Amino acid sequence: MIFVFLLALLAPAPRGPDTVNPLHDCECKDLPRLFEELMEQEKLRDTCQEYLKKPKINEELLTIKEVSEALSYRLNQFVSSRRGAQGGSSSGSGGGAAPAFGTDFLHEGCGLFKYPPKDADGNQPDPVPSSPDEVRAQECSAISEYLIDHEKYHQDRCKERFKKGGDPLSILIPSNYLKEDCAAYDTGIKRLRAEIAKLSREKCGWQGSTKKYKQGGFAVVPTPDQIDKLKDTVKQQANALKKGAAK
Amino acid sequence: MNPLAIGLLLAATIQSHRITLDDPALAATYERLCAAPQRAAECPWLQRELEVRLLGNLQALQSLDQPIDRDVVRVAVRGEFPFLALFGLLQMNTIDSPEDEAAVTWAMDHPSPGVRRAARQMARQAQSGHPRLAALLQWGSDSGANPFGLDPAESEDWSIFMPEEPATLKAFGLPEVAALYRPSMSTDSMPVFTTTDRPEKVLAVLAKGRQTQGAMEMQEQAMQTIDSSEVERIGKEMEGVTDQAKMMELMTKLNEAMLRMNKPAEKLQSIRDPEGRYWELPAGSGQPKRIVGVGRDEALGVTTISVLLLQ
Repeated sequence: MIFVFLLALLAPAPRGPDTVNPLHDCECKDLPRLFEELMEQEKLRDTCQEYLKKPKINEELLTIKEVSEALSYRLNQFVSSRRGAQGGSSSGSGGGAAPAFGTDFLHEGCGLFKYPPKDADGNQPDPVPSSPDEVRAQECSAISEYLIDHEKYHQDRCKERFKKGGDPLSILIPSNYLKEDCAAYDTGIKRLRAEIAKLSREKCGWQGSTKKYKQGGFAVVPTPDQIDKLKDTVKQQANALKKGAAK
Repeated sequence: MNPLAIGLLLAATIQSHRITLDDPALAATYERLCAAPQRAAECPWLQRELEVRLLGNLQALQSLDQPIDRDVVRVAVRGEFPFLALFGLLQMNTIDSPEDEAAVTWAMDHPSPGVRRAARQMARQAQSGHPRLAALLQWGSDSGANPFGLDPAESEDWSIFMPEEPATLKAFGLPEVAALYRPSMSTDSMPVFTTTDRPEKVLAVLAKGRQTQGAMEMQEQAMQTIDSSEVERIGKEMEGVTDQAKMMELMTKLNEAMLRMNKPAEKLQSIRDPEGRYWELPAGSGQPKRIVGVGRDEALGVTTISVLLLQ
């Protein structure tokens, strides 16, 4: 079950509330936590890409344990350093107690797994089947949707492998896994950014990003006023060009 | 990388000096200096800067899923900066009005082959409801059209976005008249120019007393000069030949003879207007033999000047 352990490390659920709530939108007060989640996901994506670049990853077939250990080390280092800087638990009430989710790559259904937190003695309980609804019930929508998108990326690729009659175990080759996981992170991050943008714009009166261009196809959050100004500028520029061309 | 992003990058790279004006100030300056009857010397540079910035702002609006005013889209289609024009064409997507049609027609003559290609492809898709576009498409060539759609990014050949110098009548050994080079109507072997002047006026300058021919006359002359005797002779020679090597040799000779036989008919490619006037210019001074034609395209409302380059 090393693969489930690895998935749990690569797609950790946020440290959210322990209680199970029905599907609910995130609130403005959740924004700092969402940004923190975004930072963490981006850091993990970068770490994934860093490992993917290592030639060793592409050559050795049986180093998945090494990869998982290395990634978990990096993750723990990152989380603890940020927590240290902020003086304790970063945010949320779970403090790493919430379950992580992963994908069952070895069976045709490619189902979603929940990996419960360690027990009081530090033992890791076995993973149990889960569902998008369970993810949604545990976290507000911005987080649950990005987590589902991340795992759905894995699930879709997994289903493709079964459909094409390929070897499902091929995903255990570190380079294959990392390629897929880096892309899954991108998918989740894109969704998380879009959710943050939507929440900020529609509920929280966000004053907006001053960035003109979105990066990598991700959403930015200009204010309605900024958008209106941009539209006015565009009209002004177009009119000037039109008048110049008439001569 | 997105082709438009590459375009912006290129534009930023090639700028030799920076304009520190903000967007509204630059637009106002351009309008003041370049919409006046006497355009200032800085206008081409200001226009490039303005177009690059407009493209950036349009991309920003697009990324925010904001609708872009149709009038602005048409300005983009008419942009000189190739990537602005391409952005405009991709945004326009369909030709819905005479104004849209005019903008696409403009882009079909863009100095950048990549923009021309995209505009022609769009015109080809929309021509049924637009007689002027259909008339224009009778000219020129669809070669190089991108089978993947309007976006030429698939071709990965960025040189198609480099603007080309417009052809001139002088370059083909003709006196200059007030005529526009029309890449949309030209092919590699036949550049075409248009003017609003009447054909008689154009002929008086271009033909300068040379004897011209009508289309019928030229056709008859071409037919008369076709000599089929060599082809017939080789044909007879082939009768009864059983040796394979000999047959191959004769086949090659026959093909060559047929090319020679059809050579006089090449000049008939220049006939676009049955009422037009045509004359031949001999090879010399680095010029191949040329057939010059002056005619009318009533559907487009222009007088056409074509220069067929014979090999």
